[in-house]
Amino acid sequence: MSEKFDLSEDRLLSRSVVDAVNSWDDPLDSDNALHATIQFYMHNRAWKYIFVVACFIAIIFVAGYTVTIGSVNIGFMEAYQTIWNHLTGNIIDTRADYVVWTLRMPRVIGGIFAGAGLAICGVVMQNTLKNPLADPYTTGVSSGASLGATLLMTVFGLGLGSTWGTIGAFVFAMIPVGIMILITKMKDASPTTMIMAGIGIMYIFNAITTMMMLSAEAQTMQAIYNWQVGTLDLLKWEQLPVMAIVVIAGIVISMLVSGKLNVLATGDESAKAMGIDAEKLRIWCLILVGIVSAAVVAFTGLIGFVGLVAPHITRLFIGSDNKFLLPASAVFGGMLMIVADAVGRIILFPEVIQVGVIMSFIGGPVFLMLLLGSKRQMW
Amino acid sequence: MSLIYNDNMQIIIITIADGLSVGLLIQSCSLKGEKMDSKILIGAAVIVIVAIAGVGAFFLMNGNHGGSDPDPFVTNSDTNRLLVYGNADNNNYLDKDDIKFINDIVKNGEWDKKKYPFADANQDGKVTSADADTVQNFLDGKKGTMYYMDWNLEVSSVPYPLTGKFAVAYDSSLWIGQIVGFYEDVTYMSRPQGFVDGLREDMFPGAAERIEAQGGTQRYEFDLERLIAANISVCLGDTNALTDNFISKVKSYPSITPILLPENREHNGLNWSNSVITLGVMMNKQDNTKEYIKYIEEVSGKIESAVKEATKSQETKTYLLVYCDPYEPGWYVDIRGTDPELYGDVVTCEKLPLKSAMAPQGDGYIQTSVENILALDPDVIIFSTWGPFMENYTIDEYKALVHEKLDYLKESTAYKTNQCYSISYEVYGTLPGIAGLIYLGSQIWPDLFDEKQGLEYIQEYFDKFTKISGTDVKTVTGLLPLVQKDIE
Repeated sequence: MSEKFDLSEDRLLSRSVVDAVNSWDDPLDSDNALHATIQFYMHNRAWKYIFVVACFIAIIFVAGYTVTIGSVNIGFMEAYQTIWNHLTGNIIDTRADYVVWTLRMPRVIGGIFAGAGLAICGVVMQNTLKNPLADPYTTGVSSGASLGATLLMTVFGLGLGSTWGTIGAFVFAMIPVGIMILITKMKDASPTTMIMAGIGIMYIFNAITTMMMLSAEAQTMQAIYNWQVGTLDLLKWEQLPVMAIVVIAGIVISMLVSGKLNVLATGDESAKAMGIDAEKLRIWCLILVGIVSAAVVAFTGLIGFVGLVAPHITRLFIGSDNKFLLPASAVFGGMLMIVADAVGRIILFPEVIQVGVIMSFIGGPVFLMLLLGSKRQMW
Repeated sequence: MSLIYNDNMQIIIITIADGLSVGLLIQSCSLKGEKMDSKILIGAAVIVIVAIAGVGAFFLMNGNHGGSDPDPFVTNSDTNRLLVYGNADNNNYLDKDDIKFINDIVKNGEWDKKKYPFADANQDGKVTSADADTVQNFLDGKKGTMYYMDWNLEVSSVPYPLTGKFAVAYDSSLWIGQIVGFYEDVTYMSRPQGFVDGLREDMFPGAAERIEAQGGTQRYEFDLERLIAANISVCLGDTNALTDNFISKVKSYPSITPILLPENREHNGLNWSNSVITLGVMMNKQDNTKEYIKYIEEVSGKIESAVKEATKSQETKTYLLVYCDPYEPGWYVDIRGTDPELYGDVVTCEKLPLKSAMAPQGDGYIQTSVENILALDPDVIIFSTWGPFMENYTIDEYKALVHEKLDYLKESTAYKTNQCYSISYEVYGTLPGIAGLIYLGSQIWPDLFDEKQGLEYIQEYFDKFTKISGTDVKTVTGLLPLVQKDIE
């Protein structure tokens, strides 16, 4: 007698998959491949849950540790005592309070949100474009933000840490996204079109940026390049709510469409067969990624490789199911960001190496591995 | 992304970013080449990774990072600054005393080449009466070739007397020109048009209209063809403008003389005071520099006495120069680097009995953080601001700019002991810097320096050596250092 799995109560499988499985006329165990796949999936489900939970616990520990390390000598327990004293309004050591609460905490918390935001943008881009090298900046956000930053500084004389500087960087970061949407509307929203459009826009914007930088003062150029490398140094408490709201909203929305992203990753034809408009989904994903990455870039500059590295490393452990991959990548990306920042802060004291530079040392080798490696078809 | 900036870290990042986009394109187009042997690919990948890591580590580790103690403070005497061969007695003047000195050497038959290198006026390797004749010719204003020690501490030459139109790299050359007497001859500057247009009319009258801007490249290397077109005879700049590339090209064009003397910063121990005094002689305009020489010798003398006293009574203090720029929200400090060039604000501040809280490293312009500054916790923090002077901020705007940075350092010892100050890099990083040192010193060591005298020296400098003679220096942004109570 054939064994029939009762999948109707399984919340992890989307309705469409359950219906497809249940519509098989043949007994399940006559199709060994499907049987084995489903059995494998169900056996690994627990492991994926454990991994995601472990990531959340890990980031709490990592964040908890990075807030205690820095060049000012404050002990591990003393750092937590300082935080507790601040929260209870009982500040004893104003110096320690300033260092831990005002300098370190915003960087750590902001770093988590920035890393999480860029990581989920990377996951979404890799799925929608079906390309393992896609990252948040494939939307052209980086080139738009660079142009905005350069324009603000060279023409309007606005500093990059200012409110208007941040708003300007965000607005300009969205311009390439808007152009890409127009192009996809005029042509099509296939992965190739979007990538080509993104690269084309990137080169145009970069050319304009370079032209402006050629006539800029040396100090202005230095400031622009530093911003382009990316830093968490500019993050303050008052800025965090804005970034947090956008990133959290982005994570929630991406989780809501994670099932559709799974289907999209199998190809446009499969998506159509499942009733998903692939082109429309791609455009909405582009908008989502554009907004989230622009919100991060406006506050931190262009921190590269998080959106590329975090999803791929997470994928090694958890596979390509976006239901797990998205939250795990978000947490891993946040963790990676604050670890890289901590390394940059302490490795060459008193000099500081920006987080973007540390990320490049990590991202470069991973990038090479990607070029050489995986035969995966699903991202 | 085009690469025009030679910061090594960013070369690596930009190269990887470009590679990423190319890789993305290749992947997306599904180009199918021949399948390479995986072992070769892995080997190549390992080599590339090691190479990138090695290059990165080399540049990161370059310089003396945090291992040794900071240098002891250095006095930078402003006597013995004339670098012309013929200045046999090593003072700041080319005069009959040098002729007598040379004749004495000839008479005694003994020449201490190390101690008196400038006695060999004609650079023939010996000191003879011909050297005395050479000096006499210089004093008579006769045409010839004058040798001098350049910023590489090697011998260079100029046609004597030096005349013609000047091309310069920075506004600091205009300060030099105002003293020596070639200010009106400056007709070219290797800076962007915006910079030339922004030259203050009160400080540099007529300069914005007269000077042609080169525009363009970040490092401001002189463009030889443009200089020829502009009928330039003399180039004065720094190592960014007078690059090795430019110097090798201009050697084959004798109508243009590069002056390898610093117009700003210090190079191998030579700074702008060397340039003023030496150019005065080169142009046969020593009379114009005599007042300047007298002034800096007097001020330097007072500073050196105070330094000796401070050393004896162990009153030297640690300090950090925190760079403050309206466009750069990050934290940078100016310190001694490991290469021969020193930033002007470091040159100026280290005349005082101050010891850097950070060891020499890199090129002297170091990115750091608020926490690192708090950890180093120097006795004195001096904000070196860029922008307020040249962009004509009001004094209140200047104070607001510094206040924003000062706010972050409230937990520092320097702040708590009211030892935070601000200087304008554009003033204190160049010639007029020495003028404010007695005043700045009086704030840090009230027993060693006199505040009233310090203010008088600043006023005297700007009255005698600049175009704003008669203007109260307290009313001009950037001419006086700001003290902490001004900034708060």
